[in-house]
Amino acid sequence: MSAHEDFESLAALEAIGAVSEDEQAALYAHLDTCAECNEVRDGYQEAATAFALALDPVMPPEEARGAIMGAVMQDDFTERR
Amino acid sequence: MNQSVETTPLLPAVAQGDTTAFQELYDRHSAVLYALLLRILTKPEDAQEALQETFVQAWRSASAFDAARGSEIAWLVSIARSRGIDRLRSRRVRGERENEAGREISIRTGTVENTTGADHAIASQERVAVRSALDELPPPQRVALELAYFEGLSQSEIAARTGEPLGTIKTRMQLGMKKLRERLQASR
Repeated sequence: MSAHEDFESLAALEAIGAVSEDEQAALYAHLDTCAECNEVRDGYQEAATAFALALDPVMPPEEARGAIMGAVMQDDFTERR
Repeated sequence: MNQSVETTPLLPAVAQGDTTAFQELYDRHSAVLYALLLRILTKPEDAQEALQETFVQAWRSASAFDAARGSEIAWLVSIARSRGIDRLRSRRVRGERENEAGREISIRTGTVENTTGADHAIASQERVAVRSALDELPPPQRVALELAYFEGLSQSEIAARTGEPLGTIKTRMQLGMKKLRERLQASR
C-alpha cells in the first residue's frame, strides 16, 4: 500500500474518532504537506456527518436558546480565535 | 427556518460578531445537533449543556470555518460530537453506570416545530438520502462505525465489544467509511 493509501485509511477512521493519538499525530503531520490527502480527509469528515443527519431532529428545550444567547452576549470578544 | 439544509453559510458573519447571524445559526442547526447529543449522552440535561458548549465554541472559533473544505453543518456536527464524546468519557471516568438499554433507543420522537413546510420537506429529503447511504452498508460495518461515532469506542474496544479480531474491525470500518463517502459523493 502506498503512503497515500495508508493515510487515506487513517483519515477514514479519524473522521469517526477511531484513531489513536499517535495515528492522529502522524495523519496531521502528513496533512500539513499533502493537498491530495487533505481533500480526501475533508470528504471523510463530510461523510461522517451522515450519522448525525440521519437522526430525526429534536428541538432543544425552549430555555436552551436563551441560555446560549446569554452566554454568547456576555462572551468577551477578545477571547475569540 | 430550516434544519441543516445547506444555504448560504452563516459562520462568516458570526465570525464578524454578528449576533443576528448567530441566532439564525442556532435556529437552523440546533435540532440536528441536539438530536446527536441526545443520541450520544441520552440524558437531556447533559445534552443541553453540551449543546451550549458547542455553540459557544462555534461563536468563538467561527473564523476557522472554511466553506471550501466542507459544509457548515459538518463543521458544527464535528464540534458537537467532540463535546458529546468528551462528556461521555468523563462520565465513564467518574464511574457512572451507562444505561445501555436506553442507549439503544433511537431518538425518533422529537418534532421540529419551527420549520416551514417547504424547508422541512427539503431537510427530510436530505435525511432520506443519508439514511439510504447508511442502509447500504453491511450491518457489521455500520455497527462498528456507530460504536465509534456515537459511543467514542476505540478500535480495540469495538473488537472486545463485538468479539471480533482487531484487524477485522479496522478493515470493516475502513471499508464502511470508504463506501459511505463514495455513496454520499455520488448522491450530491
